[in-house]
Amino acid sequence: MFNTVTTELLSGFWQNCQIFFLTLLFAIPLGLIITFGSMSKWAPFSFLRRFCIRQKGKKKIDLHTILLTIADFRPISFITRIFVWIIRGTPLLLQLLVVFYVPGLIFDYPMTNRLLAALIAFVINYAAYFSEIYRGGIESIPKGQYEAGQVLGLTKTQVFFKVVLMQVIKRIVPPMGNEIITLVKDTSLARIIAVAEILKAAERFSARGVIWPLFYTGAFFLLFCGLLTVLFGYIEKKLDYYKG
Amino acid sequence: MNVLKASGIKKSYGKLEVLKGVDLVVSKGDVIAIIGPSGSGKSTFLRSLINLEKINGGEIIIDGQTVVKNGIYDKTEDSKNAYKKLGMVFQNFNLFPHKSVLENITMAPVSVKKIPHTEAEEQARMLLAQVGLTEKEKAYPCELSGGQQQRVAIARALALKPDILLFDEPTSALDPELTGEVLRVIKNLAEEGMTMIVVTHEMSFAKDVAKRIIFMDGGVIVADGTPEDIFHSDNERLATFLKNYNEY
Repeated sequence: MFNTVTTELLSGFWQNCQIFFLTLLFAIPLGLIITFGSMSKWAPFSFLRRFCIRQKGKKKIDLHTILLTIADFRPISFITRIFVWIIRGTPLLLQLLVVFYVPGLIFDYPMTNRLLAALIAFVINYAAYFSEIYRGGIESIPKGQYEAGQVLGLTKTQVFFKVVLMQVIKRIVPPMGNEIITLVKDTSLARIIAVAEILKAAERFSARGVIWPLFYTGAFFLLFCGLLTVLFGYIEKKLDYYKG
Repeated sequence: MNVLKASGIKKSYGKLEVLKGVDLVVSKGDVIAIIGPSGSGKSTFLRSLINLEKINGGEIIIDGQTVVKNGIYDKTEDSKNAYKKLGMVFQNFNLFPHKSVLENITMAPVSVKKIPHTEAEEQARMLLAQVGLTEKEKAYPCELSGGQQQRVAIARALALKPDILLFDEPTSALDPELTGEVLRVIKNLAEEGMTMIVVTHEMSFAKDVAKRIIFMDGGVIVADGTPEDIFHSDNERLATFLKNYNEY
């Protein structure tokens, strides 16, 4: 019995692992793109500034203020931040349902691959969270580092890759570790769209009155998270050769 | 020969006017100290010369290349290259913490000037010897004292062989007993004929090392002359400023 359960659960856990690794593979770079979006300074209407420099308004809301607000409007940043707000502001469970059912309901193009649907939802959700971690890391780098790079004649790209990036990585390892460990356990949410992951596999036993496999699944998660904790500890130690 | 000419430099942050038309001509071999009370605009002026602050009006010519005219920046390659003739040393050193001392110095020569790695390292070792830190080439900035970090920062700036070296309060972040080692390095550079502009609060250093002192207050240059002129000036604002210093 024990061996049968273990084999069944392992094949379920393989689904969790697939979701886990593929989500990381895509969400880590996608998060960086979202970060660049939310940090974008592109303000297409900034030329309006020219028209309002010398105007002096007396009322609280006057043309001057309106013009300035429009001039400061950064559409890419705005849209990206709205997107991140929606993704972080709604349950992942709901997002899984949306990704799985909405294409069929609205576009008459039903999702047939459950794993793919789960993957899309996870990648989008985790990329949004990662992007905020990246943004925090990038914004925590002192301005002086950029200035030093600039006066040494480095281009903006060189400053980012040679000066800023390694320092950002060191700073984001602890919060990323946290988020990635959360992802391990979140993968079991995929059962809401009937992905045959480990909890789903255990539920098949409990439906037949055998309850203990359900609790046994915890061991799989614990073991996996334990390995990750060791790995992140190792990375942190590797990056500990300098302070600051 | 003029290596740097700034005229009518104006800079405002919103309604606050920080620089109200500052003029400066720097000749080769000049060692200029800029002194003045906090908020006088001296750091802003220095930073605007190397494009760390955008000015709203005025003209900057670096080695014959007009990089800003009437507050409008020239975006050509020539202007970008002109800035490479200036080096800068910051108050907070701004060394790259994840790079060793040697890597801090070789990074720009290798990735900007495309100098071969070994050659850049050789040159970096010579510069480290010059600032008295030969044995620290493998250290990381966090392992050095403030004074040592600042000397590395000077070596890093020198590695690009700038025509003019700008110092923004190079000793203000240091413990008093560490300022000497940094000031000695700057003094040696002055003796070797390096053109330098130093924003400083170290009056005795300004007196000894600078060939010319500029006193700024309220966004303008109030006095400009040899140390002799400045320390014996009868300008009231300057006299009050120096008197406050001497009292401590």
